[in-house]
Amino acid sequence: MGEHAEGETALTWNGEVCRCSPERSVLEFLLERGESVPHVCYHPSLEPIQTCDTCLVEVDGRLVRSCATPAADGMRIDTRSEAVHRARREAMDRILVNHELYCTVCDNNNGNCVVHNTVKLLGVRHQSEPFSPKPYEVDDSNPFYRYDPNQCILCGRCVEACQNLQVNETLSIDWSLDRPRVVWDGGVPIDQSSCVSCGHCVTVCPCNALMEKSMLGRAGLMTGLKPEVLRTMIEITKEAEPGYGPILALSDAEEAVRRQGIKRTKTVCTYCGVGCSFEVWTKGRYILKIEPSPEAPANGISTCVKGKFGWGHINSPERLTKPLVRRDGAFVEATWDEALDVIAGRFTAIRDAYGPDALGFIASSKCTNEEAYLMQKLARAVIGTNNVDNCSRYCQSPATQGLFRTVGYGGDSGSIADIAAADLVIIIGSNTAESHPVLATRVKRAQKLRGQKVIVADLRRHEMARRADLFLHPAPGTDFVWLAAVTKYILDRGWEDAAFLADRVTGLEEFVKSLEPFTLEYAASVTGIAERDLIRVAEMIHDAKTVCVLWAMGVTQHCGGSDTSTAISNLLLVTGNYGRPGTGAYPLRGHNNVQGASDFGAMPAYFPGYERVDDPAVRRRYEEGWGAALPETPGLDNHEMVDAIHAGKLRAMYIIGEDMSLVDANANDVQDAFKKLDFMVVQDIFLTRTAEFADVVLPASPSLEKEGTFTNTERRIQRLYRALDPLGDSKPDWEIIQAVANRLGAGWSYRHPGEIMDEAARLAPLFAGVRYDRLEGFRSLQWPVAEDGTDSPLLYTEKFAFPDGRARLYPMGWIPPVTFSDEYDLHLNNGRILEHFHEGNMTYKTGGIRHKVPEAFVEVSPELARERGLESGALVKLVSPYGEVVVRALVTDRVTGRELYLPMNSADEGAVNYVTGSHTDRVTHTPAYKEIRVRMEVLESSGPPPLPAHNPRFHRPNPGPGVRVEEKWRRTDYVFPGKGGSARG
Amino acid sequence: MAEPIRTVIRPSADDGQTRRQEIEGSENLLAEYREELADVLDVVRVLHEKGLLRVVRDVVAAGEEILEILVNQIGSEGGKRLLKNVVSAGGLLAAVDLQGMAGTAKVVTDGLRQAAGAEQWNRRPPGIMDLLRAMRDPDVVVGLLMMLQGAKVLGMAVRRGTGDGRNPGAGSADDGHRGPGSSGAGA
Ligand code: SF4
Ligand code: SF4
Ligand code: SF4
Ligand code: FES
Repeated sequence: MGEHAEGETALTWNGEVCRCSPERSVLEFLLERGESVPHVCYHPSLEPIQTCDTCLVEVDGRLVRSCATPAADGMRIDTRSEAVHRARREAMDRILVNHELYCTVCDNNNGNCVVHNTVKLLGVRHQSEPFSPKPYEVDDSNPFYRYDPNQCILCGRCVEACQNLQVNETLSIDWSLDRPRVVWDGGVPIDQSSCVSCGHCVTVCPCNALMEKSMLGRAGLMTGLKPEVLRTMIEITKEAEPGYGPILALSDAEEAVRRQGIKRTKTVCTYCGVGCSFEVWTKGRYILKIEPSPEAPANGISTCVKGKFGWGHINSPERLTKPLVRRDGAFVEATWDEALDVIAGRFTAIRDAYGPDALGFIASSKCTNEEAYLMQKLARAVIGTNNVDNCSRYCQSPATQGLFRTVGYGGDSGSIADIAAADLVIIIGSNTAESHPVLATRVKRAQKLRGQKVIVADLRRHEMARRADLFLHPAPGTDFVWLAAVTKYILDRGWEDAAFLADRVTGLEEFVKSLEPFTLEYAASVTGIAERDLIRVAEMIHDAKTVCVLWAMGVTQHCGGSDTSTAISNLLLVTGNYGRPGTGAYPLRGHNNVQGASDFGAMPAYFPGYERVDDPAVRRRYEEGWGAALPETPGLDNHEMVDAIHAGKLRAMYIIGEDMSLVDANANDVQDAFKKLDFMVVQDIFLTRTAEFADVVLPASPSLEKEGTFTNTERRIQRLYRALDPLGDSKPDWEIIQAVANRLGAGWSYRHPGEIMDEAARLAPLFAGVRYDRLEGFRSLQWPVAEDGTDSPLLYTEKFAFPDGRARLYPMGWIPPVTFSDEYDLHLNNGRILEHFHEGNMTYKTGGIRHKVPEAFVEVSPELARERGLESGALVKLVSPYGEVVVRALVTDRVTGRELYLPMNSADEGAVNYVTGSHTDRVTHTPAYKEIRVRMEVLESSGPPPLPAHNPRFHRPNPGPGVRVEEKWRRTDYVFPGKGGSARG
Repeated sequence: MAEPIRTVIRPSADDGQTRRQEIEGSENLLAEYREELADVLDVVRVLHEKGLLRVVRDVVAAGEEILEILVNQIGSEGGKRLLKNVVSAGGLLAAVDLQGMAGTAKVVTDGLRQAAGAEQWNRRPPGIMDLLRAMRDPDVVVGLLMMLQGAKVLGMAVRRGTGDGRNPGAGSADDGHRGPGSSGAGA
């Protein structure tokens, strides 16, 4: 045995001495070497499952499963012996007892069917035991996917994915049945189970047992036949075949031809800030399916129901396909020329009459970085105003502010991988399992498989709260207080990271002084959290080597949102939890491109890369780059824009991809403002509530119809490619913004979003090395990106983003939440739910999502329901000082006492912002959406439940360790291959 | 004061402008795909000369019905025997190469997709026009090519015999590194 590097293993493979990197299984070693080892149940994104026995090899003369055998020093591996061949064939034979090969007419015959490919690889031509159907019906009750027990080879990949990757814990294989099968919640129809339709199981299924319904009858050339015809064809093919050879050959030919018609395009999810990327398969305009890939940097093969199945908006008949111009109280369809003329004419007239600051621009956090960049360039360079903002103001600016104050960069300080690797994760004001589903799976998985500790502070006992090792329920708006008290306790006990503070942080003394009032007693009295729980938090932080804090709108949407965010960062600094793997601050960005819209300058005070507009040197750089004089003072943010309309100062607006009239707080006030505008342009994919106020409505293209980049919550820039042509006359937003600019005389000539990115990278040092060729396919870059393309998955490893390289502890006092008169006796919390996105304009277009969650509802605690004599289904009116909403109630113990929860997913009379007020975070003007009290009038004390019984929330999952393959091995009909005898798989 | 509105008025179609624009669009496409279309027309001409066009047209018109009849026919005892004989004799079409065929299929479908409905085609002989209309659905076209192709591969595989265990296109079943999302082996 030759010398080898430390940690490496030296072993013999078919007589040859080889090196193997550490911690590899024999299978992984062989695959890395390019050896074609069959492996039906192994999947790179899952733990070894060991159900299929096709991966057998001889190790030191004994047959073993290579997927579950660690490569070890001195091992002798034989993959070519006759015994190995025979055993593998035997294993495959048994699999085929459970699976009928009719590949030519199978919708899964797309070149990636593992069963098909393994049959070919092993050269199986005849079966010793024939296929034998199982005595179960196909289950097609779920709207998105179906299970065909007859095709199920019992590999258990789906179970492993559901139990240990998604960690929804719905699936198991019932090995006690005469013919085992996969079961949901122990044995109920899929639609009546706890399944959240994330699609993990479908994605990993190695055959057609679990299929997306959108594929059925659509993927193949001949799969759309009537079932009877199809059945007869299957029978004939089987009878006529002299073996599998011709059948496979024919199906391969069919696959080659079908591939011509199926387009596979890499894209990035259009919904939340996790930034899942995957391929979308289309045939013409039809969306066959979303196909995740282990290469995807943020999510691997993971998705949630929205990303996997929520694409109904793309081909919705409600899409806008032509520009609309308001004439005599109606919208009239117009050509692009006509619409652009109207816009240019009115913008110019208003600017000439009232000055450039009479116009306001709202970029979209759902559009691309390039589009945000062009929008701020249009406002600044073409119109001459800094009145440009985006909807991150509604959720995320306070978090950014907290990080600006303390560590320097307004973004997550590490990656999702760091969150997964942390010893302790603290989640504050975030229902992560529903608002950032895939990111939550990484926490759930680390907790389940590795014993990661989780603390959740929230008003609601949601999924993460139920799973937490410690759940805190602070009084609304008091997170700052318990955070400060825990920080003080840690300092008092001497548990701070003194070396880190000394070397890398300034401002300790003043900060310590500012904490004086925050004793445990005080914190307990304000927050309602028991002192022992506060101490427990401090101890858990002290015990953990690495801590990540995740937070979202429960923190930010308060008058003190920036301060609470700062308090989080302070706590991390005091305990030295920055700059090391597994540590850091993670404000969870809500929308797909909340991060990017701000990064690329759609903010009133910042150019791209967070350089201030009132910094003369920066401004000069942009003036030179753009060839225009630029305005010198920061402009209005979106909240101030609404006030400015009321004050008669802002006369015109251009709003892209944002239903601002519903998603801004105090919707009634915002809508009143819109009525007062002289001129308003709305650019969207649907005729939204906001568009109804417009003078010109421009039809835009959604993500699948354009190219560009999104930046996810990890500061990760990812490319999306065009899968479909724009529908009708709609156009990608960047093309429209350019057309508007050019109609105003700008003379822009971008031919591709890549050219826009090149310009941004030239001007903004933060993105210096960002180039499209470095982002090809699934590649990504996390800013800051140096000229040479080096990116930054983990920030602050050496210095913080301040001139002196040191972080700053930021002393503050607590701002108590807004108070209301006693008449408003209920606290109204609000936020996201899993199935819908934002106001629901996109997700309500997907039938299956509507099936699971058809309408908005308000969660009422059992105590309150009893007190008010109402039950689930009751129709209630919630009245605040600002307005009212009417919704049906859902009685649930996710909320307690006098706290209500109203999801934000309604574009009609249930829209939460009809009751929210105009208070804001004092620093960033983010609306204090979470500081609202209402009174409740019961209109009907009972009625149809707003959430159907087939919603997963009503069902109990079936947690388990995974597939429980030992139960299979214990069955009397199981024989280890190579030992002789026939057996079922 | 702009009150919210939802009414959308679509200008009446009689101004002919939209139609004109559509025709212009088609003309541009035709120009862009001139070479490909010439190839398509060549294929169509050959099919026409050999009398195959009529057959194809009928099959397409009959749609699933005819397939059902065929399947039932073959499903009878006699049919199965026949099929077996055909398969084992292996005397099937073996003239077209696989990749070439798939390539042609793409060109044909692309061409047809672009040209469907374009007025330009009216100047072509009526027989071809009919066929093109019938074949407007790219799936049908690909399906037809597929049937020809399938027969060929079937023949090849059978002729090669069932003894060697190495099937055409056999490759790695490995999805290990690219996952189920990648286009793996299957030819
Ligand atoms: S939750 Fe449902 S869709 Fe997701 S993996 Fe489990 S069974 Fe499959
Ligand atoms: S349904 Fe599950 S157990 Fe059955 S073949 Fe698919 S992944 Fe394997
Ligand atoms: S909504 Fe978020 S978690 Fe779900 S697939 Fe899209 S990016 Fe991923
Ligand atoms: S891959 Fe090893 S047992 Fe299935």
